[in-house]
Amino acid sequence: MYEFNLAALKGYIAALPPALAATVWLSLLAIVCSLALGIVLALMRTNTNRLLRIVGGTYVEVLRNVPLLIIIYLFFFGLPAVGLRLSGWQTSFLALTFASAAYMAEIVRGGLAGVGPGQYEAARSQGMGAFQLYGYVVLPQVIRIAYAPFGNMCVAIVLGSSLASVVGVEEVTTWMHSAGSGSFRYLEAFTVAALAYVVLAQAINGLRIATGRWLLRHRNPGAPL
Amino acid sequence: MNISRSLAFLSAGVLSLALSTFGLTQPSQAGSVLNDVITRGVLRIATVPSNPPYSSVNASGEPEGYDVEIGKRIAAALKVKPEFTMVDTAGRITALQTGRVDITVADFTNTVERSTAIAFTDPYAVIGSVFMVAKDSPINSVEELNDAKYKIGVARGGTTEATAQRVAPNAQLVRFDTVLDAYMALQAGQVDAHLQDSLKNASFLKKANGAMRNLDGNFSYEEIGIGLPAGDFDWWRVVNTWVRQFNNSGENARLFETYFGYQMPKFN
Repeated sequence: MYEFNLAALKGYIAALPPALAATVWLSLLAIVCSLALGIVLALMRTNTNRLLRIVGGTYVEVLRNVPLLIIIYLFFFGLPAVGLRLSGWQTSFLALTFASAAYMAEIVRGGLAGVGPGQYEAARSQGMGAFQLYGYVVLPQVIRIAYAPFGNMCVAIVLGSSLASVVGVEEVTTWMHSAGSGSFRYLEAFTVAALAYVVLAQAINGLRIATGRWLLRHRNPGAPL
Repeated sequence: MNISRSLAFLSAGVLSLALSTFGLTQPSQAGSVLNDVITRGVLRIATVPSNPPYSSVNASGEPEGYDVEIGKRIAAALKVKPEFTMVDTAGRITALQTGRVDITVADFTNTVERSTAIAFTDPYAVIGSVFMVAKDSPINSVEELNDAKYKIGVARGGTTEATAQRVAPNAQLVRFDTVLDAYMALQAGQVDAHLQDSLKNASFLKKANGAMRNLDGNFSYEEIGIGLPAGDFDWWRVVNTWVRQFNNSGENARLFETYFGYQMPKFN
């Protein structure tokens, strides 16, 4: 009978914090960069210029329909054929960012769509410049609408970072494999890794909510986030 | 029917389904794997999907290879049907520990450490490990490879990982999920060398058609055996008898030549 025994992993727990740090770093960087790229793409998709709309639309449609694992394989094993050799970490970061940006674009676009044209007209009629318009009127409303789907995307990025193990990045999933094969207690290693991801996703979610509260600190206190 | 009642029924259904499948994977009392196999009429075999010519999955999704053929022949000898489960390097051991499969035939090295968790038959192959590099690589020996600027690609969780660390501790080790991924990385130039099973190596070199070459030296002695759940002597006795006769009758040498394309070196 297989006896579940977490103490068997004692020797490998010391290697877990650096793996957690690597996952957090990769995820946070991917979240920030994909959000930035997503905003650019959302603006492209809602622009009056038809070429920008087509380019943005194509990017989003293509990258939302290819599995992340395949993108990682293409970047890591395929790009060297055209002369571009990226390391495992670079591949994972770029793949995660490009794939997530497609989803971020749709999230931001949904947020922008929720701000009625009346808001723009009213702000302009009050003499607000572009900075005041976007800073005080548009962005707070976009943040309120888009924050929950954005939170889902953040969690998806944290979990998607586990695919970095396929190209040898030293993060939580790689730790799980090393600890499991070293101690032969795979069930324990899988369980610890799963718990690690739950904790990390919740931590990043908490960070997102705290940031949101700070950004919207001047709004009415009862507003849900 | 309101929402909470439907949810209650749904969760009860899911829970009972989960519990029943858990029950199916419980190993029976120790010492009765043989009985279970005969009663069930099916031999459950674990193997890995991306390790040709030992085992791989062909275009129609069917497993094929030297190890796969061995599994099929054991099932035929016991007069039961073979059923294959694809696992990864770690899963070769877990599947046996949790009773999901009856044997594992997957280029599986018998080490003392692994033997504390599962059982192995006598070897049906003995391999070493060799380093493969691209033909025009600047590396000419393992001493040169042992440098922090070089990357060695290995399959995660296997014996090559430990061997590479022992032989070239200064080089960076890049771990991949499968042997094929590590070989692809060498082809793409993402790693500078790939440590490989010496028997596979000859057949890979032939397929690479001169694009790859080996560094001198054979760096391990590994007995490849069939993995069995620990604690069941009757099961071990039966499967080991098959392995011994497979080796001594020459059937092993013939099967090897079919899949590897050259004559198997003598090992026993």
